[in-house]
Amino acid sequence: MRIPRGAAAVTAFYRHKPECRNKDDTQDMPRTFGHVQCRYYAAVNISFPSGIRPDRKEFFMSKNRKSIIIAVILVILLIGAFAAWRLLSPSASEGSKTLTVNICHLEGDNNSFTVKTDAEYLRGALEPEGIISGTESSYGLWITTVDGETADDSAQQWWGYTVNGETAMYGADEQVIADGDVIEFALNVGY
Amino acid sequence: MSDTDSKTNRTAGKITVRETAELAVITALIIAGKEALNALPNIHPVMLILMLCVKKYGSRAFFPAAAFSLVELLLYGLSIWTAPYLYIWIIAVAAALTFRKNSSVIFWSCFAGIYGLCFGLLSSLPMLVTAGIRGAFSYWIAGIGFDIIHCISNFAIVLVLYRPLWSIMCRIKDR
Repeated sequence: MRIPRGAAAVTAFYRHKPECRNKDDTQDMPRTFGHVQCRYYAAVNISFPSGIRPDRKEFFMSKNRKSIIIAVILVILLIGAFAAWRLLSPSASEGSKTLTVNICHLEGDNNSFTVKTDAEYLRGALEPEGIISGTESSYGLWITTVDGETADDSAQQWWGYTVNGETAMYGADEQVIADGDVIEFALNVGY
Repeated sequence: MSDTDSKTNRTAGKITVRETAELAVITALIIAGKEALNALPNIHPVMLILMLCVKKYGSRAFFPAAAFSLVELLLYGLSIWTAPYLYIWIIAVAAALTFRKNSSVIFWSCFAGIYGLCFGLLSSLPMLVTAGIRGAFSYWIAGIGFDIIHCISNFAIVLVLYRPLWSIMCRIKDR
């Protein structure tokens, strides 16, 4: 069949896709001629010359410079973010450590433990000792029970902890520990 | 259709009953999409639907963004972790509005990817108040892993679903 070109391709396109004729969709109409043909082929569902699929052809023929610029920005930001994440995250150290673990219960009866461990992360230090337990989530261990007291979800209770007096930014799976760290658990009420 | 046309939208007239209903359904879709995929960290079609809404409804996309944020805050309560929802989707819609004329799938995929990557940075702003600059910085660094997931998933979701959803949206809006 004869392949329509130029304005004839646009007309043919609209004939087969009348719903694209309105103004909003003309934005969607590709600017370059090649696109129009691709759309036309797709619209009338005939096979493409030389076996090129419409989407691929559209991608490669696109001269949309903004897309290229934003793609480059995305890649740069992604690499930068990955580097920042790798380089600036605290790194774990091996060897034996001694931690002080203070626990503030809801009723005010506090408890304190001294834990000796070779673990690199907080979870590895406290879970085997039975000090913390909880449920697995896609973010790691969700601590529900500390020193025997379980947070009541329905009362908006939750266990939070500080490391050397600063609010922890990591879960127990990712919290790096160092010798002499003071970990303080507190049962909080209200989100 | 003419009063939501890209050219006349800036001086948008009264919002019609029909549009209100459409925007409400879109809001419901966003919430359903977000909650259904809750088990997967940072993988959801929120950005995609909001972007399509921006392209189709222009500045009226602020309504679903605000309604979605409000429902999420009602669901999860206002806390230091949810406070970013007070502004983050409004910023997303405002940013998308500036590129409204663009209709390249690659462009919008990258846009959603970049926004996903910046999500943690924007989310750490409330931490400036409660934990100071150091706290906010470490909060951001701690979350970059999840930002990268957010970036890649946003990119992939938009790349795959942009065209099919756009044609559905055209069919609904222009009927």
